[in-house]
Amino acid sequence: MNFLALIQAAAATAPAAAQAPASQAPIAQGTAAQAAVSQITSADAAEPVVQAAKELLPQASTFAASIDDSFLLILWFAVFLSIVVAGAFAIMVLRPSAGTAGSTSRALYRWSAVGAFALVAVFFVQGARVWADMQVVPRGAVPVRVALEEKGWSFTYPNGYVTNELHLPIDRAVKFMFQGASEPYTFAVPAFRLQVAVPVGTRRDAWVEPTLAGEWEVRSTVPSLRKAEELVALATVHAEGGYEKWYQDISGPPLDLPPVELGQRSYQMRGCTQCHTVDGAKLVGPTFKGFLAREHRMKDGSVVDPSDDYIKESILDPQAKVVEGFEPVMPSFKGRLHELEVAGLAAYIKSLQ
Amino acid sequence: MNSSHSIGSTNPGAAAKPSVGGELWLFTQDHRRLAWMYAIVIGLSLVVGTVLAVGLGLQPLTGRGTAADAESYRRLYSMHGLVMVFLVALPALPGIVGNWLLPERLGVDEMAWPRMNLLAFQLLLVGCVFFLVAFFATPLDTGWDFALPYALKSNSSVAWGMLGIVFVGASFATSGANIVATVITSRGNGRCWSDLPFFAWAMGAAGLIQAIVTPVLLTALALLFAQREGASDVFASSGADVRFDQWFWFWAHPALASMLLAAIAVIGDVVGEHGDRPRGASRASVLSVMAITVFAFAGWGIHVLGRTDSAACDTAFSALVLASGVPLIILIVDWVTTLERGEARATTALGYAATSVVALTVGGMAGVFLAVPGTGAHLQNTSFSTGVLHFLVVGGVLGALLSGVHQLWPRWLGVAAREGWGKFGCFLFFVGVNLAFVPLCVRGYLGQPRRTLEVVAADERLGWYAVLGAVLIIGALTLAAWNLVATLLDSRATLAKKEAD
Ligand code: HEC
Repeated sequence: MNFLALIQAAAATAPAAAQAPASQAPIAQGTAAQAAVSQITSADAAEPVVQAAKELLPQASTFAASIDDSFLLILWFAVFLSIVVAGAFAIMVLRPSAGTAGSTSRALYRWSAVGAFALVAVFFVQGARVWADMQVVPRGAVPVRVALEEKGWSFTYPNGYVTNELHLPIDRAVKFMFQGASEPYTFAVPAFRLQVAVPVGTRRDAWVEPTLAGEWEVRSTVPSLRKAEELVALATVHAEGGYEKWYQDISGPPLDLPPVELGQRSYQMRGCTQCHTVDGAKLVGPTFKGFLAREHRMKDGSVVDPSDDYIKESILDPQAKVVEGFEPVMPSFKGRLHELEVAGLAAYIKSLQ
Repeated sequence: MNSSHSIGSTNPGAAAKPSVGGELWLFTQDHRRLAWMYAIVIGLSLVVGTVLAVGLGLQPLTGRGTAADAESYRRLYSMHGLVMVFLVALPALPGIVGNWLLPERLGVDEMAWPRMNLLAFQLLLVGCVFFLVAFFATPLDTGWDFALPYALKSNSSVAWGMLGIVFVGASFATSGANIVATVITSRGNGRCWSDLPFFAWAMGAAGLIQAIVTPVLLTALALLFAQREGASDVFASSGADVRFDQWFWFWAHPALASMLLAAIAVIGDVVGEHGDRPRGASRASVLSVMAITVFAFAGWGIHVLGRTDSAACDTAFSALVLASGVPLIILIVDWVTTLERGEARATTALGYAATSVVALTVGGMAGVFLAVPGTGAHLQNTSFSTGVLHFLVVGGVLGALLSGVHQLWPRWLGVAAREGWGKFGCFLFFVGVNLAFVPLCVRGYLGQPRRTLEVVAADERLGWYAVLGAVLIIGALTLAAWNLVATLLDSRATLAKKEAD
């Protein structure tokens, strides 16, 4: 039975159980509080409690188990030592007969020094092992660039795709490359037991291998004036194969296609179809049919030339020029499309008669 | 207990040394009177700091979400930290117990430099005044550690706060130097190093650290001030936050160690009085004090764990900090065996000493989590580190202060204190410390960042446990204060009766 889980469970469920209706507890009779106690003490009934604790702080990376092991090792000694010390003081005042005068033997000091030294050495070795492991990024790790910017977290994938949500594969190493900002921040994912401090204006590398699919919280723990939600992001660890599919989606069509074909695939894959048609129908945005032949009158009354530059600007900075009769609701695709894709889209849009 | 130090052998009201009649207490150079003055100022600061702490505990349970809530929370934790660290934890033991007991334990009449002793107290008072200004102008919101880069931008009363620290720091350095001088000059007349009592060793080490490292703090703050005013750019380039923390912890880590050494001095003294070694010192315990002092200077690097480019440094500092646990364990063995050979009675003073030792053990072991690189990286900046600091400072330092004060009362006043109430208070204190600070540690492990109003990890009810713990601690402090006042009145009554007779 995991002791850490027990502590967490006591913290998380004891009050909750005290509130919960008795029917929720596995024991039919007695008060909910009693149920909570017996939940923790009886090994059989402990299962749901452990479950709750795991949900509170799951072991979601390869580091988590070893860090928890170090933690538990030290925790046990802490509890043991505190009880011994408290007990020793108590015994000294409570024992009936007085002690014998004399001096403490040197051997006692010597052995306690040796014991204490061995103890901290064990702690050190245990902790340093994980630390050493953390320092060496395995080969073939998926590289992700990370920064905490003005508008929040940004994660950049090898294909240039930028997002504020972290997506990670399961059972595969990921290398994070941090870019420091004007404020220090940390990249803390308690579920991974990973926290990387990124001082002002510096670069840092770190890695992790997620082992549990789910959504985990990423947070900067450095006290900051910013709103708490700006410091938080979600890390999604995809189930087997899920990350690869996601990555393919964000990667878009193969870049070696001829431009018009690339543009067409891109138009289909990137969600342009939600707002733009190629058959003349008007959705949220104007149709692309007959793009070159049409007059492009803007909200401010000006008429623009349907050039490549205009199309590129429309995609990357849609609010720069807004077409008359439409709302400025198109999202920017800046950082989300490869250069070649943008060029392909322009070629494709112009090709539509 | 040593017969020459039995209850009532000294009467502080009429100090042993002839004092100038009608002398103003504010200008007294008498070490006993100064101890009382410190007790008053530190006691008041403790009340202020505690009120702020209660606000700090209640804020997340009552208001959060708005920017105003976040701001008041920042101010609460900053002022709480400032008051508790600079006006309570650092000066309490040297100021109160040190002043009273050091000359006596050394067998001298006065501190080496009585006028400097007064000066140190007055500097502390001036520092208090500036803190009050900071408090009533725009309460400081940078945290007591002036974390960069926010301390550069904050438009709260940073300058007033720093000015306060300059005076308070000067006070620490002065009184630290005075303590060291008193220990050194007390020898002679055939007394040598080996005759020094344990209290003098440990308190002397605490004073030595204060005298040496305080200038580092003042330098760091001066640089910070210059940067704020645009007169310097030491903290402008990349890695500035790490650089400032290195400066800051080069002071703060030894300063924390000096608080603990002062606590160790008091514990050792109380234990010695209860055991078979009143005012003696074993070689092992003296060596341990020396080792702690040396390690104290080599611990600052652990506070920038993982933030420099050198994993080798991280590992080395980790090993050094861990190694400082060894002398602490030897000291505990020394104390237990000292008690073992004597005829210890269960007194309030010993109870608080034991509580302090247990809190130091828990806090020290919890500090191991922060010092071991693997767990340390996961726990940095979380409320776990706050919890550890509080175990050490509240459980360890405040516990030792209560122990020392309970030990000294009878002697101060010539009247026995109420032991029953004292023991009950000690029990409340023990339970309170654990109830208040274990939840911080649990939450921290679950990922709760420190100094964050939002409760992000674990059940909110943990917060209520902490508040309950704080209430128990306050209860214990109130009991102790009431006990002191009641005993004082008793002693006055006895005195009046004697005069009437
Ligand atoms: C949420 C709906 C939406 C999506 C998705 C969207 N757009 Fe738009 N788009 C608009 C709207 C509305 C306008 C007209 C207002 C404006 O110019 O901003 C527009 C305008 C344009 C224009 C200028 C049209 C003209 O007639 O001058 C181009 C080119 C364009 N979008 C390309 C794209 C491409 C390529 C994609 C996919 C990568 C895309 N849009 C995705 C809503 C959208």
